[in-house]
Amino acid sequence: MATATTARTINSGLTVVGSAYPALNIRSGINSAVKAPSKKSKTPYGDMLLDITNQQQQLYDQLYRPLNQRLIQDVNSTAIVDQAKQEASAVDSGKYIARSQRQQLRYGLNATPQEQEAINYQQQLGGALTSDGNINNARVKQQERNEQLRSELVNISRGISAQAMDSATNAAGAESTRKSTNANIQAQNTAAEKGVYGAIGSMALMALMMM
Amino acid sequence: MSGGDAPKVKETPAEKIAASKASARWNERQQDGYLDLEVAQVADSERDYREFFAGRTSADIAKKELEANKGLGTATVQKLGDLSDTVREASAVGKTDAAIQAQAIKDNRRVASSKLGSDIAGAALQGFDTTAAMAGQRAVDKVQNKIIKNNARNQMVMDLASAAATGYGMKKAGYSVGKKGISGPETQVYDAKQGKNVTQAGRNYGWSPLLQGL
Repeated sequence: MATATTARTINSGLTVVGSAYPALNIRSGINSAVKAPSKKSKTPYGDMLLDITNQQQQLYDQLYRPLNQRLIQDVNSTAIVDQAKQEASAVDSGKYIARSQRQQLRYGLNATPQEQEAINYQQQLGGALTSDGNINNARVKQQERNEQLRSELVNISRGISAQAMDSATNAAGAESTRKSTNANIQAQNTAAEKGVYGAIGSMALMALMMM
Repeated sequence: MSGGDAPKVKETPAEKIAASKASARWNERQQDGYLDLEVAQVADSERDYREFFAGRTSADIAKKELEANKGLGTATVQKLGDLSDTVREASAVGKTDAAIQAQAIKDNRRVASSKLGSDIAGAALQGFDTTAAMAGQRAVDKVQNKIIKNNARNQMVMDLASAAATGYGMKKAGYSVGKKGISGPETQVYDAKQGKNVTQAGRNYGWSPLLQGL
């Protein structure tokens, strides 16, 4: 993903400054001014609602949905553990041993060869265990973080389900209403048709009787 | 108008769009991997974490052992060892701690944005639904208005036909329309004075039958 290096303006609205932000790939047309309603339109306010709704949908599709997709990919992240491993590999026992020896000189201590060996052993073992503990802690933290993120995303997922079901319910309801209305119209039409035939027959009979 | 060609309320384009958006939103769960997350979450709820934490426990035990061993050395070795450990611990985990905190801040922001995005998508769905509902209502109104007009037209045709049939029948029966309104058929009545049948003008009903008809 490209990185912005200077201040930029997204669709004459949001200004983003600095290089730490990824460039957002947003097509023009989102969050633009509402189109002037067509003079021929019979429902200008309805058209305005549809225009805004389309813009909302496009904004979600282009800005938020990719973010969600990245978040979902990130649920299996190993970044914290990787960082701990990287840190562990950078641990230089020799550096700590040298530091220990400088401290001995600073305080005027003269360790015996056996003592020095013990100090070096402690430094090496301590370094290894610190790194080991650090990585293990990182694994736990990583696990906790990934589970928390997944939990948040599952909640969002349930929200998506609820929204989709609400909308599908509305669509099914509209379909049912339409079918019902058409059945009523058909029945009314048949009734009216029979009424017309009855009236014509009645008139014909009346005319015959008057002849 | 026969039963077959009754006007129908057809599905509007707005309704089709709203239904497709609902479907797309639902499919998004599967396409983007939300469903997998839910499945994994349920599966992990049954997971035994003892093995996962076993490594940590081993490290903790080894650390404790090291601490205990320090007591076996001279006071000088012990003090130097403690000082080195403090420095090492502080510097060794610094970047990892920073990574954890940075990750938490980033996650919080991204999840907040994601929730906002979900709200926006929900609002868009509602907008599509509302647009569809309005378009559907307009389609129903249009058909109902057509029915009202058709019924009125049919009624008018029947009234005219009825009037024409009645008029035809009445004319055949000898009724006539004059300046004073509708008159009944002439009748033959016996005139005793003349000793023969004479023609008698029909009864005049005035205009009221027509006016009543109207």
